Amino acid sequence: MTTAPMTTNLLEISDLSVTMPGRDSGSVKVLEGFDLTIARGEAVGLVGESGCGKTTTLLSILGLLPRGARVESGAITFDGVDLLRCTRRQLRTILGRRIGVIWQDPLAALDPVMRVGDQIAEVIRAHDDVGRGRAMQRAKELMRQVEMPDVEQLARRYPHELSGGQRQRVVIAAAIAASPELLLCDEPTTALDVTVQDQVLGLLGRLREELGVALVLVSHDLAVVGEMCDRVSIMYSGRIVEQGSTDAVFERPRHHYSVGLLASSPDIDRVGVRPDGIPGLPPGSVSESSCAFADRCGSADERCRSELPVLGRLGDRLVACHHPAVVRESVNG
Amino acid sequence: MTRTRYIAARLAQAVLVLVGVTILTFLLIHIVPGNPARTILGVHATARAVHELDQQFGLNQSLPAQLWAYFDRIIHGNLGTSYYYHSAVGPLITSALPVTVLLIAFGTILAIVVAVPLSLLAATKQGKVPDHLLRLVPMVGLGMPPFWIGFVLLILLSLDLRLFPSGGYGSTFGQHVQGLVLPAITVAAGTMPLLVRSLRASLIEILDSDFIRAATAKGLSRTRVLFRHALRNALLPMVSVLAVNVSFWVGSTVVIEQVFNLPGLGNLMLTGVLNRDFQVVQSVALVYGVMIVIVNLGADLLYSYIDPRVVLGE
Repeated sequence: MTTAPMTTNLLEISDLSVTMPGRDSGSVKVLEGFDLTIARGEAVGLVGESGCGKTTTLLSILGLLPRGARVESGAITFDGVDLLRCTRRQLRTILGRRIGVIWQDPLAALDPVMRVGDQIAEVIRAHDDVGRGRAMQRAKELMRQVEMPDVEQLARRYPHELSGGQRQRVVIAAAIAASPELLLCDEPTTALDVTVQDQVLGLLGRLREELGVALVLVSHDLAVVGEMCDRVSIMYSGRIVEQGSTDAVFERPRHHYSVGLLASSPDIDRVGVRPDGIPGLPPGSVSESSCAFADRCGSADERCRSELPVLGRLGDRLVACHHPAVVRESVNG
Repeated sequence: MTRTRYIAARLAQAVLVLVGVTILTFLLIHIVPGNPARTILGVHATARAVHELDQQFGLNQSLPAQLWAYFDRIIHGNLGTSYYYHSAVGPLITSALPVTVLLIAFGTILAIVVAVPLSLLAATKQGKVPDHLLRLVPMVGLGMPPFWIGFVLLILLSLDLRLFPSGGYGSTFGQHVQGLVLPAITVAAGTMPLLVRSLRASLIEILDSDFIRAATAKGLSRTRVLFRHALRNALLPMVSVLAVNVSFWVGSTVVIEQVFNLPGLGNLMLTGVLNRDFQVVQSVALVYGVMIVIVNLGADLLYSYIDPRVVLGE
């Protein structure tokens, strides 16, 4: 698809820090020293509780941070182009064309007064010099590709006339319309019925194989990430606390937050056993001088409350913890 | 409910409204002191002469009988005869109606044409200088009564600069348009601030919505995001504001037509009231009612056309 050497990373985020306007006049850090690299065709999961900075990361990549939010430092490089410093025009040739987005709430992400076929076709027309009819034809092909029935009829419907699953398929069709190299997925199945979730995930997996597209999957659903992703970054309060291959992190979590997160997801093999959960709530802003998880961590000591642990290599992964958890037997074992 | 059935139901409702308007106008006319025959014949006429003219007009009958006679005529398409002009009311209205309709249409279109770009500017520069200016300046316009704006425009643009006629409607279409420029600006000056306010507010809300972010992330041009996605959605609340406003202007044209000496419905109404020309007043009120009903029905239909989620009749 492109002539760039396969060894370069498709997306590189380095040392990204973002602030949002605070309740008073000050500003609150929501993302701090965030690093992430994604190779071509790779699928990476971003996991964490609400408000830990997952969505902020995605919006930073797209240059769509809400009003008042500021990128304080760092760089986001897509295939050699610095997305934070390029012109709007340059960004437009990348968004939609080389980076597609699958949004959390498909009903909110679709224009309520535009036919869904047109909403797919407009992506094609924005990036290719094709006529109306040709673009619509292509839009219908895409709708078939995302396994929608009665395409001729559904293309003329408005978003509110479709079911949740069909809407998400439209969003996916629009995201892959210009054959992007990277798909950003923001909780792609959270707003869907459980039965539809599996179908959409299956579709995403299949598309990934067919198109060879790289994937950033933001989710708090560990099962989804485990199924879809090669690597995973566990986020807590604006920072990455553990990063490694999905198998390694899920089977032998080393950060105590990862341990708690994995323990609090329900296990089909332990029906009737209530998941443990993590006591307490995440802090509101990024901490500078202590481990943000210290207050909720069973293994925390004085050092955790006075010294920020940095993300460092620990065997097969990166962990930001002064007292990493001892490797247990496999959780699924 | 299908569109046709909805329109039929609304029209049936409208008939009831118009009957109400007619009865109310009829009562108001007869409550207000003054007698057409006396007005026509003058203060020195004898009681006998007045009585004879009353009889000729049918004014000595009981009120219900007069009301019934009026309805009977209307159903047969006869709007009666003007006491003052000594001619049928129908043609009087057909010649006055286009003036008022053109005035309101012209003024409203002008207001929209000015308000849309200003609101886009204010909404995209929210909290910056253009936004503050655009929130302040139209308020000044809103604070001034229409007739006063009319006078200022007349003095500045007609009397001093001689750019436009100082009043009147002329006899050719070109003259009509020329004569309507200043009155239309007066109408627009009252409508535009309201439009800017509502359009700015809905644009700001829409520009912060997910589907605008999604549209931007598709790599669409800023123009397409603003006009095809943001503005199209912002038009919905604007239609409601316009419908209310147009109804308001139907009444306000009485004053504006007076200021600019336009031979419209307002003018006809005012002369009618001053001369106790019952037939004219009654019929003009009915036409005003019809206009407002049509505007509101049109707004509802337009609403369902712009927004596919709106189901007529719900």
